[in-house]
Amino acid sequence: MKKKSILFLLLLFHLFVHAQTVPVKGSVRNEKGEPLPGATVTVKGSAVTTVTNADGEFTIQAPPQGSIAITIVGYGHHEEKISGRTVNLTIFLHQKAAELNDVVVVGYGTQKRADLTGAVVAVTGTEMNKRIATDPTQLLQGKLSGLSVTQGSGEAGNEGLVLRIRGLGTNSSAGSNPLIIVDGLPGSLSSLDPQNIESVTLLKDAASAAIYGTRAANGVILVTTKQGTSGKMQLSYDYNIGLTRPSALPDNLVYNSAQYMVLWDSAANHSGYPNKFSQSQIDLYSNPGRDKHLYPDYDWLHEIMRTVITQTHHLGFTGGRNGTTYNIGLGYVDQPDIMLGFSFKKYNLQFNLNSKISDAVTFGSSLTMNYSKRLYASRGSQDQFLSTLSQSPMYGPILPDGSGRYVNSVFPNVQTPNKNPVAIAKNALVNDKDYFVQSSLFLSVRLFKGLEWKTSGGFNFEYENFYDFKPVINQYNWFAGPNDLPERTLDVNGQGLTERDTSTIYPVGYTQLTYMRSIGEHNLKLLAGTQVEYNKGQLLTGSRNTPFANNITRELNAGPAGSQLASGTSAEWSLRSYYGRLNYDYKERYLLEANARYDASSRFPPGNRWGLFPSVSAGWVLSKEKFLENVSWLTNLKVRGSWGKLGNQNISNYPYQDVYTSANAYNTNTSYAYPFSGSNLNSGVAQNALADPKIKWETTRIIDVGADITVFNKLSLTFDWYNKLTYDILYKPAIPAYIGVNSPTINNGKMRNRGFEASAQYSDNIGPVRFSVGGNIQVNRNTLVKFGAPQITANNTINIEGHPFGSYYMYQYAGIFQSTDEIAKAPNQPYNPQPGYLRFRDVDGNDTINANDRVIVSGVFPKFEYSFNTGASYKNFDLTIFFYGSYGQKQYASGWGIQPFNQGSPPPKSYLNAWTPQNHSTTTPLIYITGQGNASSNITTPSTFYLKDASFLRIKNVQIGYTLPASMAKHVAMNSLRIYFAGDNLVTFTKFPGLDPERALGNGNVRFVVHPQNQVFSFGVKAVF
Amino acid sequence: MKHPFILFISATVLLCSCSKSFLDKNPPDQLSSANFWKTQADADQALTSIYSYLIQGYNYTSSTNTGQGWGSGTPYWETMTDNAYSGAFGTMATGDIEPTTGTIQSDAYNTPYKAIQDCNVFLANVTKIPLDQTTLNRYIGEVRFIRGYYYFLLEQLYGDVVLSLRPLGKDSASYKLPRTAKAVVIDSIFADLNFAAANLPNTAYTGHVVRGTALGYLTRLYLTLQRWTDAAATAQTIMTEGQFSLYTGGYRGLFLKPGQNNNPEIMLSGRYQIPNAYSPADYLYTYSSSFQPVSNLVNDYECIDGLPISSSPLYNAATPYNNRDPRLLATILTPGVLYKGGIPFVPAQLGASAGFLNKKGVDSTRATVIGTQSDQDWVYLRYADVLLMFAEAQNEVGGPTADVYSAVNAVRARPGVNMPPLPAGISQDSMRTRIRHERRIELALEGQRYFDLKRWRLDRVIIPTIKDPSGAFRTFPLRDTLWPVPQSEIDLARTYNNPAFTQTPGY
Repeated sequence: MKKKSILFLLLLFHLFVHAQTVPVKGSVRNEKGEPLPGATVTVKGSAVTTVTNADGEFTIQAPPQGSIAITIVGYGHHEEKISGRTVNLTIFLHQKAAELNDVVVVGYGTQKRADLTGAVVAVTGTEMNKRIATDPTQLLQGKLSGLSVTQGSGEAGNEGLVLRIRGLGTNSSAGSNPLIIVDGLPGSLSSLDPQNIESVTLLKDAASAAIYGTRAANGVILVTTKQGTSGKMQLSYDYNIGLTRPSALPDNLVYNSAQYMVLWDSAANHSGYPNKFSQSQIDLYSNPGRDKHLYPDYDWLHEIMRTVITQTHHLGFTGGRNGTTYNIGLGYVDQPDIMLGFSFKKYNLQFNLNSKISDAVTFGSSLTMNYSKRLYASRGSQDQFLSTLSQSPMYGPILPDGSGRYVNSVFPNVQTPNKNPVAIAKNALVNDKDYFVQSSLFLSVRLFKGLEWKTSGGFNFEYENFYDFKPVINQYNWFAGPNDLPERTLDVNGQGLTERDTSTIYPVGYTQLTYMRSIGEHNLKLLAGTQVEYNKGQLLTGSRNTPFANNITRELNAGPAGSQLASGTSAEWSLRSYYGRLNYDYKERYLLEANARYDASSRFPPGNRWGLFPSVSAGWVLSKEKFLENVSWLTNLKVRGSWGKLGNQNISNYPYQDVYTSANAYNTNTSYAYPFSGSNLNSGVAQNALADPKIKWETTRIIDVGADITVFNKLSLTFDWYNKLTYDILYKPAIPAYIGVNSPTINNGKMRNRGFEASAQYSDNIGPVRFSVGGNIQVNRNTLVKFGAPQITANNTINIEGHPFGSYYMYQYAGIFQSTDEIAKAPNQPYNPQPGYLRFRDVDGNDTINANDRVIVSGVFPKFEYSFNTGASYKNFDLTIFFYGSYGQKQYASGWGIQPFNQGSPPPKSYLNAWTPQNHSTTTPLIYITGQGNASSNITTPSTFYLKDASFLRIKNVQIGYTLPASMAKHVAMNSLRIYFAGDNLVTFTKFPGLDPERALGNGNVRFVVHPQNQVFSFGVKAVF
Repeated sequence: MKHPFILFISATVLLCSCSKSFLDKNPPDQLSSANFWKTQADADQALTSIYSYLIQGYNYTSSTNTGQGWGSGTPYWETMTDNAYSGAFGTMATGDIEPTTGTIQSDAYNTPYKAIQDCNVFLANVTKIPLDQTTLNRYIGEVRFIRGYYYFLLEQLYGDVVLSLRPLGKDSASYKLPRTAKAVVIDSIFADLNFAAANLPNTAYTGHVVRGTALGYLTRLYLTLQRWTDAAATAQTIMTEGQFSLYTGGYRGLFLKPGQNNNPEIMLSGRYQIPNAYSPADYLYTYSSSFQPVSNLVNDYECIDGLPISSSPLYNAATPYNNRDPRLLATILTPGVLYKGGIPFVPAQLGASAGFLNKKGVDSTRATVIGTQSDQDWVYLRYADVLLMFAEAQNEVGGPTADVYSAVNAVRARPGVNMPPLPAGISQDSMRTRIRHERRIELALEGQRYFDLKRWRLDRVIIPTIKDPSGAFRTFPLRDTLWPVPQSEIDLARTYNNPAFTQTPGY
């Protein structure tokens, strides 16, 4: 029904629009008059598109007084007014360096690419949308050199994207996340529909980012949404359907029941664990003639991981008249997750309106409204994954008797698994609804020639409702009879119902003056402005924390009143800033820019509130000098350099204040309350953290040297070298436990990121085939310059001067003990080693293995990340392939799926060939039960045994498209139509075992199981009416 | 055109004219230290947080950290003795403790220091509040008791420990403290407990510690130091002052909620109240087999004739739980007994390989689900313990005198237990053995046994005789009499250039 009405609407718009346009016929040729096939012809202000044929000819439906734009690789972008020439419209293109005259969005303004002196890169929405993703952030991966995008997982609506510009900038609690600016004001990129994005700019160095002062230490990402273009209303419709499945799964686990049980018994012997499977139990599963329904070899992994269909729709309207233009986008995403039960839905409206009120006054607005709904298990996808692996293969999720009851265990005298993940997925999911609005308005007034006054204001508002109903679900023994009692209830992360409302209001406004003047060959541009920001977050939670009378009435009022709780709080911060910029150039040959921002934040004590962040940069366009003017192959050569300082204030809201709080810092489930009488809970407060009353900004100084080169009009290259030093890092140092409180946030430490970025793009044609190849590489080295004495953190990492932050620090695996004789001769090792245990290296040579034998191991960050792309077009076909890779990173992987019998998890098949007295394996230790006895204590000791090479290269995306010739498109009542097939994460080359190597790096992330990435095969249509 | 123009001008003016306080933001739900320590209500709130450590950890926090409660009240201490077994803390029990073992080994270190810092902050500031001297001394007495309690715990486990009687952290000296000699720590504990005993009200236990509580812990400290005369005299003071008595409502009721309110026997407890401060008791001991009493304890309960099962004619191996000391079935869930609101207990269904579960402090009538919230208080000290401590000390001082007999027999004869008195005329050694046995039975699974074995120096003797359900014997290397401090503490000593802080010998 819904689909039918959309179709009807489309038809209606088609009729309406169609009446205003006429067919325009023409051809596209190069400077020699040769036809250019494969050029894209677009009606300006619409999405009507066609492609020139082998003779360079095209026919397009366009308004007779409108304009068309022609794009073809190697020739840049050309616009031509139709002016009534509806037949034989011949357009000549001159091959030229692309992009030089593009206008790039920069902080508080725009700039010609040719005039840039800072390290700035940009990507267009068109380029981004070659891949399909529900969160536009994902589409930036590999597209902007200097930006590293790590997708933590493929979980729908919770991808855990980590953005790093030029490495981990700081170890501060202020974080390393870049500032995201949407249409001029701080906002959210994830809440946008990718189809509504016009361009994304990345400000990498201090020169370009300093205008954002205290917010910019980790770089700035500027997002511009699509504005309307003048002309009749155009309607476009995009549809994509994708078949999604896990990119990788640990397909090497022992899911053969009899094998599993035999291995368990042997592991129990080694681990000194009393509970074993009896021979008669094993026999039940090894008899070839057994009832396989009752005695299965059940593969739980494939019960939870599934292939799903993802769909996205986007409806766009654009147009305008008399100086007013609009662009409206309506988006819908339906994304079931590859993990059973999880899902994500997103509805999006983008409304942009611009109006030229008079010659001097322009008014504009941008509004994004986003509603999303996510279903997930309350303990998260990782817990769901490990609960799945915790199940053994001797049973399935639902009893074999057809009663539909959920299983708990099969032989509880031997093992009790973690919660039944199928029961969770079908009954106990969190429903998380998020309503988000970001809006901005601006008014720009030209006061007199060259002087412009612009004021902009807007706000972000987010309201989130978290609803977690915890039903009582019984779990039974696999062999339970109809009247048997349940073994236990499903662990649903507590009881009852919890509802939590959070809201954030975040208004921002700025006003600024821009003055431009050219005197002879001297060009001058000045900018000065002021900005204020205020942010308030509120939280309100209500719950009833004992089981409800039934699983049907699921609202708080229906729950047991005796266990009801309420809690709430709020927090606010504010910023005030003044900023300015000077641009000067002489003959567009010598370029100079200076920026400054003066910022104050409520997060610092009054005396240290204000900080000044200056920057300067300069560029020299050598190719415009006389001595190079006649070098014909050199199209463009510019060298540039910059220096500047940036700030970081993004720490907790009240870090300098000494406070007494009721929120227990050590155990979030309890507060400092205590019931003295046993019937009345007294509230308590404590000072549980130290505070430094004198903290100030954290500062990042960046030096950048770069060059932009274009040769033969075909090959363009960009190089950047940078040295980024962060100091006065706002950090919570570890302090001795005997101090008895949490550590304060202090200014201490220095970190350096030094690196190199290069990108290249080449385009040409071989006969009728046009092609382009390009790539970029980024090399970054993170070094802790000043930290004080080394700090070893609990998860076996170390912070030590001269090494990357959080370097791996662990025992060195030195093989497997083969005999008691070897053990006797080896240095003393804890946990009473036996043959088959792991042997560790005695680094300090004192004949004892202890904490001093841990060593620093490289690989916490990649050595370099790289991507390349290639594209080709022939007639109406086009093809793009995008590779993305990361080299030199290691990931520590332990627990379920890699260590045997962790909560009963099936061991990897390598354990079928584990060390035994008969089989002297040198790669797999003896089998044991993880968490039990000395065998486990020895083998699970954090060591290089679990450090896995996570380098990878993957074909991130392939897309094959076909644009219908306009004449044919007309037959199907459209102005243009493109269809395409795309594949995401098609092939991955890696040594990482089992799961996906692309995963977030975190101190706590030592578990092997992480929700996998997605492999997507999709089909899409882009239609314009 | 005019209207938006005016709007924007006013917006701009607004933008620039925000008041100065725009940048002054204070946490709306927390009190800044400048505004605290003004009224008695502030002292009450700060005192509450100090008591809250008595219930921290022993609650339901997550599926992987279910109520271990190290550092506060927890029965898991028993799994390191001949009373119980846990697969979860095997390395602790079997003598393979390491500085990196974590869980109990680090929590038992970290929790006391959090409480101690909280106490020291209180003591450094409470005098700023205008209070009359008695009231002030009562506050100080309560807080010094808690500080003394936690240093006592630290001293028993780690020996030499960092001792500070002022808040730490604000000066660089805080980061360079050595481990203070055990004797000095003990002096400080005495000072705290003596101050508490002298200044706290001499009443029954109200939820706040009272004079009797402090005297009880003084007795325990004297016993640990084998200062028998002092121990006997201090226990005698409690008995003479008469604020406490044995509970007559039944042994099991001591550990279940209705019986715990205004209970005359309880002298210190960690109090729970659902839904905001709940314990995991009902759920923890019925849903997993992570805590299992062992047959070694079960077999140590006498028959109702006062004879051990090896010699009592009342013992029948076919019906081993009949005719036994009533405290057995009140403490231990034996096979076939109803639990979880009426289900018979079958050890194999839970993988309870030792064959038993805990029943003390577990409300078997509750139909539990995972995460059931329990409100049973954790009993730290009760009058029966004082009587047994008195008997133990007095027997060392003057042999098995009549008052020794009467103290032990009072415990045995309590209503609902009614065990026959000890045979008359036994030797001092034999009395010592009897008292130690009585302590094991009376206080089973209350977290006392580990510390009793330690002070009797029997840990090294008894623990290696324990055969776990896996069939392996435990070990007890002598170094285990003192635990290693967490490795992170040693690493941080290096970070702060504090060479005076060293690891416990042997690790």
